[in-house]
This record gives sequence, structure tokens and C-alpha cells, in this order.
Amino acid sequence: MRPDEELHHFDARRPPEYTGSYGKKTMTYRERLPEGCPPDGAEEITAHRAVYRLVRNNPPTDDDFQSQRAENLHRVFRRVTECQARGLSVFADQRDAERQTEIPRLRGLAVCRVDLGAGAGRIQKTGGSSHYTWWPYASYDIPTNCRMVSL
Amino acid sequence: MKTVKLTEILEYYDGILLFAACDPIGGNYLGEAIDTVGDHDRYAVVGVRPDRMADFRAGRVDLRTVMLEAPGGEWYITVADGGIDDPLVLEPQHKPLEETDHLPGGEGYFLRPEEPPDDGAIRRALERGKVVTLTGLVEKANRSDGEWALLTEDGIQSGRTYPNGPGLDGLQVGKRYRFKCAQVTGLDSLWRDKQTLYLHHVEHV
Repeated sequence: MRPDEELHHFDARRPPEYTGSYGKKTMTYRERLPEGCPPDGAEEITAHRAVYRLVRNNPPTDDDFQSQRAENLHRVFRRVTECQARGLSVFADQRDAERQTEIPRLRGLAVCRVDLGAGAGRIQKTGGSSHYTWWPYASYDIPTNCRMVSL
Repeated sequence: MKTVKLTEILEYYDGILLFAACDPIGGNYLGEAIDTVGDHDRYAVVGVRPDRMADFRAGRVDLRTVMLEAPGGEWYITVADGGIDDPLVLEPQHKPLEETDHLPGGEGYFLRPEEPPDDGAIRRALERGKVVTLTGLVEKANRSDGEWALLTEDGIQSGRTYPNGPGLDGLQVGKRYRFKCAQVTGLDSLWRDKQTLYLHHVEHV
């Protein structure tokens, strides 16, 4: 199914339907995901790791962790699958996150560190530098595990 | 009306930040995300000479410098409002680019090469049995970027090394080796699925 066709079937008001699993426990993703998403290459987060995300609010709120699709239901994402559009961009390297704030579209955003651990969701290396896409589980309290590292 | 086709996503964060594109006669362009208008991203686009595009990709020159070197100072705005594969329509701009706030700030934005996957991705591929064993003659063993190629009975197979895996030191081009590789699923420069072989074990045969 093409991403724009997937979009046609997307209704943000419906509750999440697609689930993953951590251990024997069935987990629900924070956002509704298309079939086959996250992809096989996405890793279940089972051990601590830090990632960095750009945020508008200090302290960060849930709004800072909305996917592109949740922020804009009708946007067409060139070259990007619907699955990616429903994940969150993060960087493994703090410097990569800081560097992006030089690009005009991201000017003025701050960098927060998010500590991920078991039950945080799934993550996959995507794109250049140290960029990853993260599909969080609904039960993971992101703001609590987040702290500002640059303003 | 000038149009370009997106050829590569160079940087991404909740949408495409930087892209490479080409026009119908092969000219190179670089696009940089400047803002979002309604449902669509807007980009400043400049023409770039092939050698300078290569410099930018290699991290030898920063984005601001490349954008200000645009031939004749020409630059364009494009709005990504078409379909997924539609050409991007470039609107010529008359105000000098340096007088806008569309140039990157800071101390210089340099493109960084893609990092190889972490050990976890390699380990997981091995645990899942995503292992490929190849036997053949070494065609390429580039120690600087970790890229290798092996001529097997099924043709040339290529892949890379990873930070904590075996290196290419000591391999001799034209000699016969057996490579055991982890097959890791990732994305190519247009974000299509791709399988990459990472060298996990090597022996001379």
C-alpha cells in the first residue's frame, strides 16, 4: 500500500490497534501504526540507551513527542513511508541533534536527552549521521525520562 | 518553469531537512528546509557544481558556503506539495540569498557520514540467523571506509565492516576467502529498504 493510500485509511481518533511485544507482555504503541510497522529491522529496546530529540517546550511535554503524522494528518511525506512518518526522529549523538538547529526549519528548538530502557518501544537506524526512528510504546512516560541538555 | 527530481535524502529529522536533486539535463541541486507552510514543507534550493556537491557530501565544505556559491547567485523556493514522486517546481527568487534568513546559522553545518549500525543490530541479525556465508576472491578491500567486495560463483557480493568486527587488514586482493556476514536491514539514500552485509568472520581458504 502506498503511503498516501495508507493515509486515506488513517483515523487518528481511533485507538491504537497494532501491538508489539516485550518479553511475554503485549504492548501497545503510542500511535496507530500501519501493518508491518515497525519494520523487522527495528530493535526492541531492552537495555538502557540515551537518545536526543529536539523540543519546543522546557520542560518537554507530550506535545514534543508527537509523530509527524499526529501533528499533521494530511501531509504528504515525499519518499518517507507512513511507518516512518508515525515514528519519532531521534539522534544517538548529541552533537547531531544540536547541529540540526542550524537548519532554518528547526531554528530555536532545544535538545533534550531521553533515557530509553526496557519497555520504551522499538528503534531503528534510519537516514544519515546518527539518526534513528523510535516507535514508543504507549505506556512509556517520555517526559519523565527526558531532561534538557541545551537551550 | 524549472523542475527538479529528488535523488537523495541527505539529512532527516521529522521530515526531510536536506536533499539532493537533479534537473532534466542533469544539473545538481541542493535543497534545505526553511519552514512549514500549512501542510507542506518549504525549501530553499540552489544549483551546485558536481565537484562542490562531492565536497559537501564528504564533509569538506559547509552548507552555507555551498549555498552562497550558487551559480549567478540564483536560488529558488520550492513547496513540497505534490505527490510522493512528483517533480519539485522551483520558483526563482530575486532577493539575494544572503539577505534572507534562509541560510544555516552557527559555526558551519557540515554533513556527517552515516554511522554504521551499533553492535546490537549486528548481534540481533546473527541471533535471528540472518547470516550469509560467502566464498570467493577478494575484489576490493578498502581499509579507509571498510568497504569490501568478493567475487563469488554467484557474482560480486559487497558489504562493509563494523566498528567491533574484523577489519580488512591483511586481506589480499585476488586471494580466496570465506566471509561470514550479518545481514542487516536498513534504508538507502531514498529511504527504501536495503540489506547490507557486515563482515563478522573471515578466513583464508
